[in-house]
Parts: sequence; C-alpha cells; structure tokens
Amino acid sequence: MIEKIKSLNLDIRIVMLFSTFLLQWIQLFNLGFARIKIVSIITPLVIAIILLDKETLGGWKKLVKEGYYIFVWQLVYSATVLLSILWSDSVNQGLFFIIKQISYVILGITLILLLIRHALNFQKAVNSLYFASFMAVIFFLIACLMAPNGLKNITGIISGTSVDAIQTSIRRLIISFSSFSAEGAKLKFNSRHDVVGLLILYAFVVKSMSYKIKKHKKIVQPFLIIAEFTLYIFTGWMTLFGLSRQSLLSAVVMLFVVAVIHVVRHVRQKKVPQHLSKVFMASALILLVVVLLFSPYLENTGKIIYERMLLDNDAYEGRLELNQKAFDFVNQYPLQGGGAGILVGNEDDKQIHNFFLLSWYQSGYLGFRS
Amino acid sequence: MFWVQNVISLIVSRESWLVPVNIEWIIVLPVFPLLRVFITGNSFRGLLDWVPIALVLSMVLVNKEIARQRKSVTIKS
Repeated sequence: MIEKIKSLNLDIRIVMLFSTFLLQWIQLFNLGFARIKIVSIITPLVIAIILLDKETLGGWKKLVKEGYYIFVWQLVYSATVLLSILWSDSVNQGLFFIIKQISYVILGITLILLLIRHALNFQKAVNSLYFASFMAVIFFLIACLMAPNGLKNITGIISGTSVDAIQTSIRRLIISFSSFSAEGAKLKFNSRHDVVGLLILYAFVVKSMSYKIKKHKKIVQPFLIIAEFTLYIFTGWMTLFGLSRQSLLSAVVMLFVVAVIHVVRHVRQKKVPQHLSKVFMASALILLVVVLLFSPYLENTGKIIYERMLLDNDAYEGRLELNQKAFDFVNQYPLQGGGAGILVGNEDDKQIHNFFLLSWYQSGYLGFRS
Repeated sequence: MFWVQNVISLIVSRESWLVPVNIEWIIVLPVFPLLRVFITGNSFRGLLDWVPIALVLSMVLVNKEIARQRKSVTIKS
C-alpha cells in the first residue's frame, strides 16, 4: 500500500495542507465536536507543517525578507480590526474574524510556496492536488452520511430542496471555513450556489491540467470524467432547471472567454480554429442570447440579469437594505467603524454580503483603506 | 487591469506562459467572482470568491519562478 502511494509521485506536504481542511467536517459527525472553533485546530497544524519542513520554513523566511510589504499590509489591517474590538459589542466574533483572516493568509501563502517549489516538475504538485481533492470528496460524503439525516444531506445540498439546520452547517463548514455549530445553524440557507460554483471551478482546474493524461492516466481519468460531466452536462442541467443562475452565467461567460482566447490565438497563428473552440463559442453565444431574449418571461436564468438591468430593488432579496444599513453605520462612525464582529441585521444570517463594505463598517476608514 | 494584461499576454504570446498547464482555463477564473458580485452582491465572503483569484495569482508566480529557474540553469550551463 505504502509502495503504491509512493508511486503516485505525491508531495506529502501539499496533501497534508489540504487535509487540514478535512478536519472541519469532523464537526458533522455529531460526536460533540460542534462547539469547537475549528480554526483554532487548523492554524497550529499549518504552522506545524511549516516549522517541521526546512524548505517551507526557508521559503517563509525569504518571503518575509523580500516581500515584507505584504505582511505590513496584513498587520495594519489586523491591527485596525483589533483596535475596533475596543468599542465592539461582539468581541468574540471580532477576535474570531481576525484569526480566520490570518489563517487564510498563512494557509494560502504556504500553498503557493509549495506550488512554486515544483515549478519545473509541476506534475508532482498536480498529482498531490488531485489526491487531496479525491480524499476530500470521499471524506465529505462520509461526514454527510454520518451526520443526522444521512443520505438526505447529500440530495438536499444538490437539489437545494431540503433546507435545514444541518445543511446550513455543512455549507458553512465547506465554503466559509468557519466554525459554525450545528446547534446554532437554525436559519434557512440554500447551499446550491456554493456547491455548484465549486464544482464548476473544479471542472475548469481539471480541464487546465488534462494535458498529461496519457502519462498519468490512472490518476487523472476519474477526475477528468467528473470534470467533463460537470462542465458539459451539469451546467446544461442547471440551465433547464435554473438551479444556480449565477454559477451558470459565470460558467457560460468563462467558456466564452476561453473560446475567444483559443480562436484569436489560432487566427494569429494563421490556423483554422479548433473544432472545440467553435463549439464552445457557439454554445456560449446561443445560451447568452436565449438568456437575454427570454429573460423577462421566464422564471429562470435570465430573469435576474433583466432585473439587474432595470435595477429592480426587490430582486436583491433584501441585500440592498443591508448595504444601506451598513452605510448608515459608516456615516455614524466614519473613522472608527462600528467595531469588529458587529452585525448589521438582527439575526446571525443577516450579514452584509460584501467583504469590503464589512471591513468599512466594522473597522472604519482605516480598516477599509488597509 | 492586471487580469486583462495577463489575458492579452496569453493571446499575444502563448510562449510567455511557461507553466505546464492549459493556462486559458485558469486565467478565466476571476470572471467567476466578478459575476457573482454583479448578480448577487456577494463580494469575497467565502472560499469560493478567493480561490479563483488565488489560483490565477499563484499561476503568475509559478510562471515567474519557472522563468527565473530556467534563466539560472542557462547561465550555469
């Protein structure tokens, strides 16, 4: 078994780094972990990976020396948020917000350092990412099955029909990297946008790395099948049923841009554009035209674009109202902000949906600038 | 602007991209959060918005690193 894993040509540090994400799903097991702030476990683990590996530690030292301005920026931002805790009504939330931001930065930079190390042998990095994502899918399915409602969690996430506490919890754990407890998640939320969005991103990434499929066929093949399925069939399915309009529109536009790059490049090289590019371009154009033409009449993908064009406020599902409240905060406390961790709405889920505006009304002008 | 610049460089000279992946599939990813902001008003709240940006930036970095390493190998030889 160990020999087989070795033959996969993996960088175990990349796999370990991604595995820290998997820890958050332990909360779903309903074994009393619900109240643990999972970032408090993940952050030390990532730091341990950095400290135990000389090369990663060396990379960090070099980065601090040469790219110190990145950290100065991060420190100023953290300091403003920390300062605004002084006049905040919700100190715990504010502290947690800072810890979350810092762990994002540490995790992201370490991953980039590891990827750069394999710049000339990128296949090793790609294999590790494939392996880690495969483990993530398996672990996520197990976590869903072990959580209350079992199989219903998975169908509920995909269809967006079964909206309950555990689904909200799953969504928050996967997407927001936060430590939301199952008990606290009592508000309704639909996770379809995030799940579908992640699948689309996954499909694009796998498509980008399908160039060496012959060399590592056994490893790549299953992921490629899922990616192709996601990109061509799942997006089509979403069009028909309007499952996630934003993700669909993004996928179409992204395909269109890819097609344009393909075609322009081939035209420049005086070659006939590839068959694939033509198909992409045509399908993306047809979809966009259909969406735009029928948008006012269909309760589907295009309606939302039409509403945005007319600036129909009802279509924002109350988010404009939240934005307005946030701006009221900004007007009220222009310099110091309302304090880290405070919410504009009355309920936990009624939060502002804009990171920059959130920085502004919580940490004031300084936080927003930094 | 940074993104537009990279997309143009990809179209104009594919050779400047040394990363051994089909880079056009990665370079389009920032469209995803941009459209999400336009449609839903969501802006960089979760992993879904940060991941595409981080991927593109890391690819740019990897590309630069490959160029640097190749240059040093050439100089040594």
